[in-house]
Amino acid sequence: MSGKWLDAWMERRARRLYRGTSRRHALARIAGLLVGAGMLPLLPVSRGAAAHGEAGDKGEAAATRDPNSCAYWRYCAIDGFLCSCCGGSASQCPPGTEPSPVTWIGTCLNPEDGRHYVISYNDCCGKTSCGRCMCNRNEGDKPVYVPYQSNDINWCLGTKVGEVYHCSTAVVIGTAE
Amino acid sequence: MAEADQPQDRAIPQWLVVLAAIVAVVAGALAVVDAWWDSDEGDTAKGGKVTAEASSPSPVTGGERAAPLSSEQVAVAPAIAPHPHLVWLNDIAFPAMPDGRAILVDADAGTMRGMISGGYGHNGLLFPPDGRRIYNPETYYARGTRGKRTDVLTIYDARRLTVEGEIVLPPKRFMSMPLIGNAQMMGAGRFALIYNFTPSQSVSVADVEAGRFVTEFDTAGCSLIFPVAEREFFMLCADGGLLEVALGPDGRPVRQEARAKFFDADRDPLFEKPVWTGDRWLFVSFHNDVYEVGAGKNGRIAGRKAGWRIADPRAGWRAGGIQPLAVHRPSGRLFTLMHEGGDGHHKDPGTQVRVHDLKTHAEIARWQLERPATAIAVSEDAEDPLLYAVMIGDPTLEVYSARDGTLRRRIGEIGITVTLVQPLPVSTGKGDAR
Repeated sequence: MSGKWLDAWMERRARRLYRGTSRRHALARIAGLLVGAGMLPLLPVSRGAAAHGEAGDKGEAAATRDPNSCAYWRYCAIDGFLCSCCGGSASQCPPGTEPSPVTWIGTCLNPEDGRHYVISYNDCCGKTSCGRCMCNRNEGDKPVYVPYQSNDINWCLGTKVGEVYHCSTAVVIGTAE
Repeated sequence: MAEADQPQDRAIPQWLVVLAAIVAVVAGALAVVDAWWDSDEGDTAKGGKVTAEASSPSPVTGGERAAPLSSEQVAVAPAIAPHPHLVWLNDIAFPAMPDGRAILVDADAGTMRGMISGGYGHNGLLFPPDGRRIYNPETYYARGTRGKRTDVLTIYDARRLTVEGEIVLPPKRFMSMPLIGNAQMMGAGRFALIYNFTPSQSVSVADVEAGRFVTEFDTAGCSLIFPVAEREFFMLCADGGLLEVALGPDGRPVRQEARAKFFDADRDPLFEKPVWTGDRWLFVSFHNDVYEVGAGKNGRIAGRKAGWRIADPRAGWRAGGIQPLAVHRPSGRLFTLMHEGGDGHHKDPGTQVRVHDLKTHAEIARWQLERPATAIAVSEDAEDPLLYAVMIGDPTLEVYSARDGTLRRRIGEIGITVTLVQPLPVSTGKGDAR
């Protein structure tokens, strides 16, 4: 008999939970929109306002010097999560990940000294997506049939840890002049 | 066993008294929680929110109570009946790439109908002409993100979305931002071809009818797979040329021929994101020029500049995105996703769709999208074609009329980072490529 009232109680609980779910649902949706809004500036749709990530709003000029900002000068052809926001730096992979030995190459202008530099965009590999500071800029990027100038490729190739992509670096190789 | 048949002592045992006491305490506690919950709900109601139950007439005070619902048994939704306004949204799940998926949406009803779990770096689905199955090239690691890598071509029942089998492939599948040329069906649905990149370039062939891997062959310098006939396809090469490949009846390559450069991969590269018009592949270049590749008069595959363009790039608008082109074959129309921007902006989301007549090349319409999009596609039906638009990172599918560009509906909470949009093929025909 006790089973019956317990059932009834559970049913009432379930009904209320359901109604509560729809309230939480609305919140989740708003949160989703906020997450979406957080992503938008990092996509190329509004690159002018891309000085976000961990850098906050410091203005365009300061952002080009900030490795946590998508506007950082070295990231002119990057596509992925910035390792500097993931426990690494612009030239270091986060702990426990492995740099890809092969990668694509871009050329970016350093506004500090007015020189063009060759940048190697090595991926860091072996853990799931970092998920922070998504940044996509495409100066000089080519389609994937020109692989070594294409940022659309998962470059976690030839590693010991496998091809699971974590984040992207931007390593200065030398001047392009 | 024998003990259980013994009559029980009529006196109430001590353990039963203890149990009754526990039940009483628990029931009391539940009643307290119940009351607290009710008070919480009362607060919500005071805030202006009235639940549907509270606002409807009371079934008790209204007189006769309605008959109770009959009991149910949990089941699985019935097989999906195909129709041309079903559309697959491929989601690479960029913030959690081991968990890619494809989501089936009914654009008429505005509902999600089902899902295929696509593994690591999910690209897009393969649809054989008979429509009974769906194939998906998938990558898995033994321990989720590490351990031995296994690539498989998974075979799904197209209507029940159940796994019917798999064909193990060389673990070399090209993983990139999703592209339709990463894998294709050929041979009237008998062969699945998968482009590999390690970074050595090659192609794997699986015989899906026999359920086995056939062969892998090198394609150095050339990428992606674009079928033009039942057993002929081409690949795009880094020098602006193409590689023509012919397969034998068993799926093994019988001829590979390099074709001379027909576009400038350095100054004005072609987007590697073309559409099949029914007899040729249509490409657009970074500067809006149209190119086409198909079988030439001598039967050999040839590429050429088509002699027209989507728009004058000097006006500031260019084609671009992840999936910038769509063709509606019954009306002979080409749809191009356009954005404002110059060099280095070729993957920017589009805000406009331009519609061209494929025969006259005239611009028929120019529609403003309600939200920016990185991919467009058009349903294949002649009667009421729909234009789909989705932007990576914005989990919303927008459905427009492909006749006049009016927004029909918006379907939210769909995917994480949707890339390729694949309307359900209506009838692909023998040996047809897509």
